[in-house]
Amino acid sequence: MSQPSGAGRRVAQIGKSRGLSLGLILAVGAPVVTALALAVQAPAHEQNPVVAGPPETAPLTSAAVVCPGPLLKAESVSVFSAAESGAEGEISVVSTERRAQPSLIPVEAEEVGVTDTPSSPVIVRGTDGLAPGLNGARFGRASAPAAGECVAPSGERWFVGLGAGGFHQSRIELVNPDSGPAVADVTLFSTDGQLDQVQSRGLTIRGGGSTQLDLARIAPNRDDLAVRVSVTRGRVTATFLDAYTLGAGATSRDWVPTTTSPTDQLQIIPGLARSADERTLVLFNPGIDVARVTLQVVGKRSTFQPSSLQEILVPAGRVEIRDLTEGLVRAVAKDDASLVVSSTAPIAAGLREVVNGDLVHHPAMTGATGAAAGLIPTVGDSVVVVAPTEVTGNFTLEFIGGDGDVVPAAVQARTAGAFKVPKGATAVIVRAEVPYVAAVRTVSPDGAALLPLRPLVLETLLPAVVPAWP
Amino acid sequence: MTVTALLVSHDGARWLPAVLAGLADQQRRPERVLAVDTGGNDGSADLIREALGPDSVISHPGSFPDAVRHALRSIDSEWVWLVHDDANPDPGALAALLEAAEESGADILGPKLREWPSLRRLLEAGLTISATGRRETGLELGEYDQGQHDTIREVLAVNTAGMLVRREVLEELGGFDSQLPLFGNDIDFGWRAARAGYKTVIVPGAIVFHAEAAHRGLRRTRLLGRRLRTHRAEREAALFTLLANVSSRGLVWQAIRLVFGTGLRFLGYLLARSPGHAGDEVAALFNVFTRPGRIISARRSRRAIHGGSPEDVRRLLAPWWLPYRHGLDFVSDLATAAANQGRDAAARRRYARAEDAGIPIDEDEEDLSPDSGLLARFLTSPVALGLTAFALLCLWGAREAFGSITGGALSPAPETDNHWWTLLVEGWHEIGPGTDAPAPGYLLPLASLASLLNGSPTAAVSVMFVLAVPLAAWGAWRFLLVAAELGAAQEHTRVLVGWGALAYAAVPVASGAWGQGRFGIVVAATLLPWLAHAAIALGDPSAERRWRAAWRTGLLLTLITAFAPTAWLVVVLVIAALLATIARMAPDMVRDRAVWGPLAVPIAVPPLLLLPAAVGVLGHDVSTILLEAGRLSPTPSGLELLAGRLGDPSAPLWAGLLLVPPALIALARNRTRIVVTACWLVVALAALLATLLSHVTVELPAGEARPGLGFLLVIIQGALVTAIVTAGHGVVAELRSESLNWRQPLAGVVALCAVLVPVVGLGWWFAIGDDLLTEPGDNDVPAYMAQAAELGPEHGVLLLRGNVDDGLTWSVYRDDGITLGEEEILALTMPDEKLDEKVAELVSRPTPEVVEAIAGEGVQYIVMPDPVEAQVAATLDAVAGLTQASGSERTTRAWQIDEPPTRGVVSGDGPWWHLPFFVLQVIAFLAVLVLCGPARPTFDEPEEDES
Repeated sequence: MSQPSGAGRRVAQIGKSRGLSLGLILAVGAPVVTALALAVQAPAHEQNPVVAGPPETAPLTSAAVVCPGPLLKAESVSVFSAAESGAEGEISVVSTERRAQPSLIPVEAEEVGVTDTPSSPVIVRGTDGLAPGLNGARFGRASAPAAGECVAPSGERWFVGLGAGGFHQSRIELVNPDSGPAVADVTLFSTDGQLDQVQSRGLTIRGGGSTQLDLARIAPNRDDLAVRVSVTRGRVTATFLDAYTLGAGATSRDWVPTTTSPTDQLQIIPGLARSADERTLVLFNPGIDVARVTLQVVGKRSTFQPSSLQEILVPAGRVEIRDLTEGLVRAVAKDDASLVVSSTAPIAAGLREVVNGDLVHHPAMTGATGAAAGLIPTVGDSVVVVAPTEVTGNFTLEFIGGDGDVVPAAVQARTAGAFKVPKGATAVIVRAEVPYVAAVRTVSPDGAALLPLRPLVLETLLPAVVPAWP
Repeated sequence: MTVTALLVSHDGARWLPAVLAGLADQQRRPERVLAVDTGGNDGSADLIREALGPDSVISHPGSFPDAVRHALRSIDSEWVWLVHDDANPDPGALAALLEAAEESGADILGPKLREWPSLRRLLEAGLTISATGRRETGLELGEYDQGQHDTIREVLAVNTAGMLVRREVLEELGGFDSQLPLFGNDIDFGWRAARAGYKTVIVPGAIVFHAEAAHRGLRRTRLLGRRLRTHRAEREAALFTLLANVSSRGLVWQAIRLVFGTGLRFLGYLLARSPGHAGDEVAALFNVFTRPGRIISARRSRRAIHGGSPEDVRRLLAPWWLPYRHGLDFVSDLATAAANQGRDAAARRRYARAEDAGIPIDEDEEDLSPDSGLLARFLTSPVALGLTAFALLCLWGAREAFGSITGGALSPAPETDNHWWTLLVEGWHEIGPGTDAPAPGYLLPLASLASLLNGSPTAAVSVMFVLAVPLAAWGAWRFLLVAAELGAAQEHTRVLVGWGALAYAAVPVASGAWGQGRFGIVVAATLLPWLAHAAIALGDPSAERRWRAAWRTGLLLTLITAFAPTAWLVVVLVIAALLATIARMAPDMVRDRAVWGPLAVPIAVPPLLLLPAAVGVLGHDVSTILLEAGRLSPTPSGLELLAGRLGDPSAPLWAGLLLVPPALIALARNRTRIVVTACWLVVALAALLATLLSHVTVELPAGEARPGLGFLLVIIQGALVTAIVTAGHGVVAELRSESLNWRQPLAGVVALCAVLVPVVGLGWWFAIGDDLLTEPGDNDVPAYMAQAAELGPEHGVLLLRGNVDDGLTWSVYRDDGITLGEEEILALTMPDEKLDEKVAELVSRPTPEVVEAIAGEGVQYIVMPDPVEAQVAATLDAVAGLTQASGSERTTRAWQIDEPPTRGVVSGDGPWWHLPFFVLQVIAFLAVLVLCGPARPTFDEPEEDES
């Protein structure tokens, strides 16, 4: 460095004399301190977000489920609350007809009440102690077994295996259990993809009312359909009534249970009849990639893949139909088996059977832990089919009615247990600590019915609330 | 034509010898020289007696008018030539006067007065008076006589020094008015003469050198009293002259005008920090107006002279607009002085060095000859072209900011400035749940700016954003010029300083502060170099300059603190370190008030000038000063602080880091090590503070927040740029003189790094300029609800966000939403606990009673913006008392509460001290403005000269 000149001399002199060490220390120290300080700076970037925290759980104090309208004439509705015995509360039902008055059902916890209702869907409300585990169903006549579950309102529901043609007609019932109006969109999918030209968006349902819609009227179509019902305003329940004309010209009817929203998790279609005149598997792939679907049969002893069940390719955005009538004859003939559906992409699935000339729909279900409950038809022979989805589990089946049996059972992984319903039992509560699916399957000489057991809603989540940062 | 020269003397021994010699040297000698001594005691009478003989001297104690009147009795010549004892006539003066008298037929003639002893400066060449009573000479202050006023012309009056007047006229008019013993009697005399039909001319060919002893206070007379109150006496004389001579029709109007004019002049003198003069103004007015008898008798005596129909003299009076022009000149003088004073330090240094080296300084060395056209000069000046291009690019880069903007940390501006003034003036704000939390400090400057811009807050925000880069560049340029001069101790290099200015100007935009709407940082970055520039003068050798710089620094720091409160903290630490250093090195110095005072002022001024906010913050939560202005924003990491980036969107990080290697290498330069080390110490201090703050969580009533580090980022960048610019001076010359070695390539690489910093930073802004700024209006509240909300605070809109799993947050939209300046208030406001409780119930177990209670809190609508939590929406759908309403979008859910809104839900009272403190704040602002203003050089207060 050259010799400093002019006024800079002073600078240099200071550097040379006393300040040399101090100056150097500072000159080296300052950047080092800077680097060290910045290195231990707290990792930042985000302001502390205003977080309210996880929700609290609290016992349900108010619940509503909607039972579907009758298939032919006023079949009775059964309701019960799976709340612990001794709980106090009320269960009332009200028709969705205008100016209908609610009527109380004299029932206590873990007791099934039956009510005759007019020819319309009914809203069942449980309050206080009887709100948790509110459950209900409408059953068909003895001559044509059928089961329609009562459902809670939900933002989105999926149904598969519906029809809008001459031999297969489905009717949707949308019910709004609240006082204000609600709006729902119904979207239809066929083997050709989504049906765009359908006037089924923005359906408004008045408070406490219901809307019925024949799919054949809004979208005449020969194929099997998949339907998504999404609610944009308010709360709405959706149920389907299905009429299927058999080869002989007779028409069989049943309700269509809601199936699991499209998922690529393992799905189980429970409770296949040992013999059936017709079995049609309906799959829908809402995604943009082809789904490869493999089917297995899970029986009392094992899960296996019959050679007759080939891998199924479900094109993106399309419904795919497979006739499994032949393919499953031997596999399920001696067992109360269920069908395991696994897929490489999210799909919705469902199975339609004709048993002894009677239509029955099987939904696909994914495993859930905890308690699930369902009502049991009083006709035919019923079994409770329980299938753990992942691991072996210890189950407790608590039957309501009859002798009030409580049946403990261990069901191995990759198997399905079938437990005969004791005489006089009208409902069942299944409890397990492992994920499982369960259903009540009824077979009589006149046909069959299936009622999936849904997880009990005993508690509600109370969201934490805090003021936002201004 | 006979002439008697009448010399009036009062303690004029200092000048008399020269004056007597001047009289003796006249080419046309007066027939007789008569002297009147008015009773001095410095021996002037003896001097005259010695020179003129005992008979020529009359002793007559009294004023100048008395002396003249007394002497007149013994004069019988045709003309009387009045000579003061401090006025030395040029040898040709009398001859020229007489010649002119003959040619023009004038009755009163006056010479051209030049300053004594400079002899070249013009003092007077004819006089008149303006309607405000100002003595008008028609000359610039200190104008040199170059013959520019050398025409004989008729004027209202001439100075009595060297006045040649017909004896008859003098007698007829009764001489000079005894009511005007010292000042203004010349104008009065001329005015009376003109009204009586006599003609007064100025004769520039006759020259008299005048010391103006009385006016400058060099001569003490008993007429002035014990104190030198020349200003008051002059004003009194002027007021008296006006009121005594103005036409009867104009008298009342004149009196009113003088009262208001005095008020204005009073303020003007206060602004110019001359309280003495301001007091004189009022005292003079008081003296004149409380003795109307004097005026009445004066007017009566004048009427006796000119009769009922005096001559119209309006053509000889000053034009009506002249006082306004003087006012304008005063203001522009003040502005120029204010703009220039900062350059003093560097300029003085430069002059000193040039003087040492014997080089003449030419300020305009680069200018072409003045006769070339403006366009030619513009087109041939690379600096002008470069500046124009830069300005245009800045306008282009800031295109988004024209018009209203919001986004990032920037809330939308309110509709009018009234909104801001209301927040400032009132202690209680009807926002949120209603609050007495203080308005943020930046509202006063912003509201003032908005009011100047036709009451448009939007325009104020635009100005803030559009001018950020140009003003930062300009400020950095000014600061770096001085820093380079003082730090590198050599002539600044324009290229280097220009680089520094650009590199610094890139900070507010490249950091992302601009694009993220972090206006606090933008303003702080814009003003920081101006603050640094002002603060440099704190080290001035002159105490007076230090004090002035202190007030200036305090004012600028106040502005920055208003927008970035951390700035105050940093400055407190820096000044504490400085005082500690001084105390260690020179313990005696630090006890000197002139040393510690100017350093303490910048610390004390911001809390004083931000008074309501400062006290309010103390009363609520003092930790709010750690936050940045505006909405909460992400805080930068350590690396980003060093690179000058605030997270996305911002210019590439690597380009910011390029500033570090040159700044490190700058430390290696011996010559500038002290300054560069000081810069690094500032960097280290800022880094330490940033680290400390980054581990702090500020707990405010509204919730938790992390301190803002934006100002520290700006400080770090500024210090790095300063270090590089200072160390860079002289490098090129040194390297050029060396033979090729490893240092030249290294310097090349370092230079490339440095150049890339502003090129990438500003280029990113000009070309890409990602930002979060949008036009306001697309918020989650549907338009019809926003309209309803403006009807009153009871029409609030409850906004629910979040989901069940992570929890929900709520806020209430009132009036026109949260506008700029309200976040800080709400941050210090405890949210409405009752409403919080009710909202929690509403989303879990709503009942009609809960809905009613919420309506009672001034809520009319409930809105859940996208994404809507289905469970909560379904819950609200199910509750009675709520009706579904349409949202702004399909994905938004909204409900209207059936219960009609309640009035007056958020009203309350602010603290009693708010308004007085606000008034105090405004007064303090004005006072500091005056205190930091430059001293205006005046004739009677010659500017203190620096050694």
